[in-house]
Amino acid sequence: MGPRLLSAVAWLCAAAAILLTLRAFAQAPPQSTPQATTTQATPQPPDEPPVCVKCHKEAWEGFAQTKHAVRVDPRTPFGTGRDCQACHGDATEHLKNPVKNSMPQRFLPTTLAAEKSGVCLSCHAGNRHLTFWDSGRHAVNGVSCNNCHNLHAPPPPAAASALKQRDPTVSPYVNTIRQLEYKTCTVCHMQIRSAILKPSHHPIMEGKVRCTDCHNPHGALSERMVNNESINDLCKTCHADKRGPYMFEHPPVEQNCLTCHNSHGSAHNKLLNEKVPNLCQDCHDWSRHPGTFYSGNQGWPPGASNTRLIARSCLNCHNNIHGSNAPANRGQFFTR
Amino acid sequence: MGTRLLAILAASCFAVPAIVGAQEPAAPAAPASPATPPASAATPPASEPEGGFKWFGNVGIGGIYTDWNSLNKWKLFEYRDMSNGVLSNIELHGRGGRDYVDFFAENIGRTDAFFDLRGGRYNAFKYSLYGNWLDHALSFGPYGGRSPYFGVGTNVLTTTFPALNSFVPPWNSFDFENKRRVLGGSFELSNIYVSPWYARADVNQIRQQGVYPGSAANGTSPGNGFTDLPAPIDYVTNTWAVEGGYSTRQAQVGINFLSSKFTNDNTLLFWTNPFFGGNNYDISTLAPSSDLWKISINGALRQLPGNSTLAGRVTYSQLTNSVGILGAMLNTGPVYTPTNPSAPTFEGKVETTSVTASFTSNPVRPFDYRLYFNYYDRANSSSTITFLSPTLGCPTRSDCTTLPFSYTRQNYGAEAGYRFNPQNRLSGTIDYQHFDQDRRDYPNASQWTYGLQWRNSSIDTLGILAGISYLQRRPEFALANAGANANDPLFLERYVARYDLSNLDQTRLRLVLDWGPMPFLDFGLEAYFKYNDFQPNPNLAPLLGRTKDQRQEYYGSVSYGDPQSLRVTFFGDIEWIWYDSQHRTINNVTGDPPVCTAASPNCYNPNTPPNSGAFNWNARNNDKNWALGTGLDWQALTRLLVKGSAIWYRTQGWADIASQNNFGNPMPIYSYDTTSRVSVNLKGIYSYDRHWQFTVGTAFEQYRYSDIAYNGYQYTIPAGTPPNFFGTSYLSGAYAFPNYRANIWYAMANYKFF
Repeated sequence: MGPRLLSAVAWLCAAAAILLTLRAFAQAPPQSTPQATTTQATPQPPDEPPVCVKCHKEAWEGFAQTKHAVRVDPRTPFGTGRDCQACHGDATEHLKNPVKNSMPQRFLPTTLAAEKSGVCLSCHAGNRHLTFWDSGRHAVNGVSCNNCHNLHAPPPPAAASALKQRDPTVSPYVNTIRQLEYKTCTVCHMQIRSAILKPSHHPIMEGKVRCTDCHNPHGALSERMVNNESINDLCKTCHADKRGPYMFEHPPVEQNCLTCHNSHGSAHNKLLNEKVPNLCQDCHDWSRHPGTFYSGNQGWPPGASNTRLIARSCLNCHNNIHGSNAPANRGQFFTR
Repeated sequence: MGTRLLAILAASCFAVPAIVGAQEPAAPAAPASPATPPASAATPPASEPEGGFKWFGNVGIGGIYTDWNSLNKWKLFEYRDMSNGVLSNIELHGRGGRDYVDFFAENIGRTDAFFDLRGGRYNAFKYSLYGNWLDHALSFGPYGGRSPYFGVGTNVLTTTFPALNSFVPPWNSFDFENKRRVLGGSFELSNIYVSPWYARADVNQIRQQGVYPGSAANGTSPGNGFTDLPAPIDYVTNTWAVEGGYSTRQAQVGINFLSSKFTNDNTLLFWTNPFFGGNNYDISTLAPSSDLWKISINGALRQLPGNSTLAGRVTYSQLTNSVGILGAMLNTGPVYTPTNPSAPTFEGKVETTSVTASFTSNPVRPFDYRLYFNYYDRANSSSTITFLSPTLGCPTRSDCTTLPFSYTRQNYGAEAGYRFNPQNRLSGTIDYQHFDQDRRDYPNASQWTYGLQWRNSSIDTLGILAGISYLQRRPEFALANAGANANDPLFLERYVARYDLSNLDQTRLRLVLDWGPMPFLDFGLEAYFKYNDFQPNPNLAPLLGRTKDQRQEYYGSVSYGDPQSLRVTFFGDIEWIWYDSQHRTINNVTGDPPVCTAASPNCYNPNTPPNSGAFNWNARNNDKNWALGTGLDWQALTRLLVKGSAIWYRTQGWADIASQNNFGNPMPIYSYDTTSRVSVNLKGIYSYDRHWQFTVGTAFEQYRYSDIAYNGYQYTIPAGTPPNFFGTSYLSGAYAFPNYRANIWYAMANYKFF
């Protein structure tokens, strides 16, 4: 049985098992007009929505599917019984005259970010991932929780909460239907959207690397809010093959990966900042080939096919550029 | 494939017992909050689904067909599985009185599969399991993966050289790819019974298998050629971590212990060397296995006087390995020359320590400030090995004692901000960093950064962020007296200024505008400018190395429309980057170490009048990148949503080179990583009824690449004399021929159940 057929059969068995099990617990479909949406599931909302729904039905429908609406959890707005008032304040006056009296706590663009975030932090300040919120760049630069989080939308697949995506997706074809983080982050960090489209890039658009794999948007003590104490410690959590220790080290490599690489995207292979050999020659000058220029007549025929320029240039010979455990000059020059 | 499927099915099995067993009684009503809110018109009781767990979800199945045209499809497949076949996704949610579970899987059975399972018991615990597969395509045969070696995929590569015809045996084709699989999970205990204490455990495994494009110099001189080596990848990184802590709104402290073991089943690569003769084995070293453990303590104290927060972190880690040192290496003869290491084993040990503290305060409303301190120390106490092998360059030319590299970084900074009004904030930053490192050229360096930033959102519809910073770095230079005289090669080191630590003046400007003049209309602009001016080592002009670089980028976007009906977005980006550098060509040398010949006296002094054997040259490397893109979300009909996207991205690279008196006649390089990519994607999503939804889409992509290093690519560069052709270079096609054009069609049927 070929591998593809085996895959399809296995998938069908899994789907059948799940569907058969679920059939015993199937609920009646909700009474709503089908709207063409992305393929998100639509669950039942809590049985009795709050009075706010009479006017704010749209805000409620998505919110009802979030953890904030779970009544059996005493930590949530609906678990405490305060419902929408937990975030928006006392509704007494607003209910008397909704047009004249706004809710006390509004989340407008002109509302101070600290005030908006303070609402969330009144419950979430004790969350471990917010330990360094006050020290992070987002708090300092006036970014509030609702700039990124969409509290009234149901969480998309494989996500704890919904993120805001202001604009239609602009990306090459990708095989994932998940809502990817970069679509939210690049609303403000616009250059990053362009950087990840470059020929050499981390697979961020493809859904294999997330912004939060490297950065902590909820605050961090490290520069650029990275998830680790240093850039190199961060990179080596995924690229453990580069961590050595090596007998012969390349000091700039050990000190900062970003000396040579750009983490978001580059026109040059392997996310290098600059084309090799020029990148290497910016530090290495010596007699004979390190200090020699390699110019436009040294490419492939009719050029001279100079081995220090064609293909991977310096790395054709000095392949172990991140460090080597070879002995003597073989390791010293990273050729073995 | 089988492993992916088994993992996803295994994760599904976590949900199935929960489904079958979750027939839970109704939970009691939630307790009333201490501050009783005004009564709503209908105060709902605690929600509890009748009859136990409530399930809803979504199952989708479809297919993809890709018609591609390329000699080497690696760029099309780089991070995506574009092969023809079945597409699938499963989304499953369960909600009970106490428990919840969410499961998602997509691309089941494909090389870019993904699954995520998360669940828990409300206010008790939560858990997650995840899997993410990626086939990182590096180059595909027969054009992008071809080798004369047998044993590709193993750590023994053998053949008989010369093998000048790459289209006949023993040359064979294969694929360069890194098959990466990430599996992991977590469990966290945090509930009202143990609160504010919590405990957490994480596990993670990264497995990589495949072949990557390695290479090695054939001999001991650049003129001896090189050989591409398809090196095996068989890595496993197993990481686990446990954390416990105390967390309230006022204070948090957590202690985390992490252990990570990296294992490489192939730390040596044996390969037939075509240069030394006799088709003998040479040896290259591959990534060593290693063990890492780390302990971290994090904490924060909030609500301190002056509306202040004190946060801190202390970490300590230790990375170790043990590597047997090769006792002999293939050398001219051919013979295996003893390396004579001072110890048979290299014991690697690197310890890192970091201490970070941050104090933020908002003592009075318009004024806020932040003080911070960072300390990072990398202490390399690996064993020091000395080699005594003259024919392997020790001690004739090289420094043949290893130099474990350690460094320390200290950073102090302050940032203060003042709000003229709630929407208008001006802030200033001063930052100081000091580096100490085991470097011959720059044993230490100090760096000051000054910054100003203005943030304004006074107008409801307009947000402005403008910033400027100036950085000045000044290192101590320890090679000012290197070399006895200008005929001594070390003399050149006086002028080489390595840009990662050399004297630097940097200016950065940034402007961000976000403007929404009317509902559903948004403009965005980001402008960025960075200029690095590297200075020569004190009193030692000219600078050899990178002298200046600059980057400026302008990004603009406009979006219009109601996401509920029609919204379109356009963006454009243009970026210029250039690097200036100066170097010295020195060819009239003799001996080892290479000293100047009579034809070029004082050749190592770049101020010496130039001649054809010793002259200065400079270069400017240029990158110019453009991007244009548009996207569309259109609710064309009540049941039909149309999504479209189009991108044109171009990079253009070139290099200008000039030399003193035009010695060497340098010619510009016109094509340096020049690419263009067109991507168009259009799909329609039709909701037939509450249950069924159908998606049909098509995409077009075209990628073009031009680069002097790959245009006219060949698999061999013959050198040497018959019959052996020692010195010939053998290539594998790695990264060559990436151009492609592809038409993609896909369709999916989704069934929602609730």
